[in-house]
Amino acid sequence: MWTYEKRLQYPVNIKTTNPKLAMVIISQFGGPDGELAASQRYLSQRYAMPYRNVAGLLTDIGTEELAHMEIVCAIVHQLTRNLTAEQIEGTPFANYYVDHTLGLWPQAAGGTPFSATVFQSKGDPITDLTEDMAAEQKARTTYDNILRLVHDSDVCDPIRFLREREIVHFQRFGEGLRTVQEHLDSKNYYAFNPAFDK
Amino acid sequence: MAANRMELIERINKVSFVMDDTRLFLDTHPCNKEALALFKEMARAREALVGEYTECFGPLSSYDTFDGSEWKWAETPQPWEGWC
Repeated sequence: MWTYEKRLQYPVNIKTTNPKLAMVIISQFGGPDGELAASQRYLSQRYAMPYRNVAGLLTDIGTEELAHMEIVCAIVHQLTRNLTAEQIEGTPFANYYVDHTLGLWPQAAGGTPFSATVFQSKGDPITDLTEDMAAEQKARTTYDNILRLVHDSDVCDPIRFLREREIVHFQRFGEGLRTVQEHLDSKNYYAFNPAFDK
Repeated sequence: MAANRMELIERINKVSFVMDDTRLFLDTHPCNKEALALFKEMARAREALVGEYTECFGPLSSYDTFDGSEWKWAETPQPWEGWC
């Protein structure tokens, strides 16, 4: 099970609202390389992971992604908090506001709703961990793209933290993949699914 | 009182983050003595800080116990509110 702690993993304290920026950052909530997709990817994949320590790694990183989702949501919330209709009018946030007012809803920057089709749970440890490493790099690229558009240090700061975590997770998944490969032998080297072909 | 609460939260965040990062490292390096010692040291520091926080400002975790006649868990500030 999970327990909730009433704190953010990294603090978010934004002084100035910015609906335009919120529309960009929301992608890391419900977009293709966002934190919701990341958490569901790892937490779904772990059941078919035959090596207990790697399944544990998927649990721990998947859990951290839930905390990152909360950080991204806190950023979007604080960037749009108490906005008036006049402040929203004419910004890219107007279309979102029509459907969700100032509520949080998982979608990509372009408006596409969150979808499980952006990730896989293939039931093959090598396939899944290779996807996970790519996913961390895709999220890192997205944070880099976001950082080029952000000029408010209150927003940059937590985004930089999230970007750094993608790099650490990439490293840990690489080590997880190495662990899986160490279980392979000359009869099954990169060839078969070690969770199914025994 | 509010400044004190944020100061304490910041200290809890810092030790918790060291544990978050070290936990992942230990998942793939379970015998690393330095990391094991660091995790243990931070866990001890965190326990004291969380205890102090709970006593002064109410529960941080849904399993924390706290004194008083009032249910504080749902009443205390939500983490996404920020300080501003």
